[in-house]
Amino acid sequence: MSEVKILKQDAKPIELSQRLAVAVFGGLLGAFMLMGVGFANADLAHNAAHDSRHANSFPCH
Amino acid sequence: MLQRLLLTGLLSGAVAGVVLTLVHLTMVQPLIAEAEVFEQRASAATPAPKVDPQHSHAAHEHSAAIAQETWSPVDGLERSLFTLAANLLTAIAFGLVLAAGFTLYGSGISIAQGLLWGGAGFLSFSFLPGLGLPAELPASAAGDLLTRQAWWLGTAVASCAGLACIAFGKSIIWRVGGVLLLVIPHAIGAPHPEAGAVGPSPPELAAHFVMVSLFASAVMWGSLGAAAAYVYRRISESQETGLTEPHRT
Repeated sequence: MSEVKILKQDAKPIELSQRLAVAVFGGLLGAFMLMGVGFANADLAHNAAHDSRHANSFPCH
Repeated sequence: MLQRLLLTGLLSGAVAGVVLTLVHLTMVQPLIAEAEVFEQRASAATPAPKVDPQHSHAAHEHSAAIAQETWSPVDGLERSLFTLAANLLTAIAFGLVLAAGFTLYGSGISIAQGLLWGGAGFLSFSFLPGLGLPAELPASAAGDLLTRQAWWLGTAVASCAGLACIAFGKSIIWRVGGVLLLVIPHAIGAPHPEAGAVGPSPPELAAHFVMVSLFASAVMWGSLGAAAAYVYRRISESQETGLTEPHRT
């Protein structure tokens, strides 16, 4: 049991730099998707996502 | 950790995207369809619109696109499926941003905290940008597209940063800075159409559309926040037991 406790304590604190790297990657991936679906000015992207863009209050047209 | 972030974004976004689409198809789409009747009536009444050199370049591009009949989904099931796909992608994108926030925060997130994070997302990506640029019905008068997109994105980013400073700032200076970040985009002001410009859709319809789209967005962010917190915690728990189980003999 004591071994389990030690392992749990070891597993918990993850360094800020590591968390920051993962968060930046996830945030950028989300932002990239958002740009494509909500902001890309190509006609095809605009027409396919038209109603969704209007409803999500992304500037459209 | 990366797997937890991606799974949280994907699963919570899938749930919130489906919820958003249900609200969209029942409450938002009828108003868009109604506005398009006015849009078509207006374009039929003026077959060759004058091109004003001062007029929005992007709006001109859009009307040109309509004239050239660029592909767009057929009304009915196809159009609804594309809306579902776009809503799913949007919600997953927001889910990834939310999961990135959870990862930075570092501690466990309860469902109630998830709802608060969702509320912050609603304020940053819907309500606060909407104060300057309310959701537009098709066929509304609007300013230049690129300027509006830039203002919208700038306001969303500044609002996220501002709310984070207020929520997590350790001193009064951080909180004051957070309030300033919230206020600055509105002090600069959103790009609006020229004074007196009116689109073909009736203002009553546009006002209704603003409220309905805000409601849809609030429902989406609420379900996204709660679902993301739930998934994030479940994966954290299973990863922790996964780490310790092999040694439990």
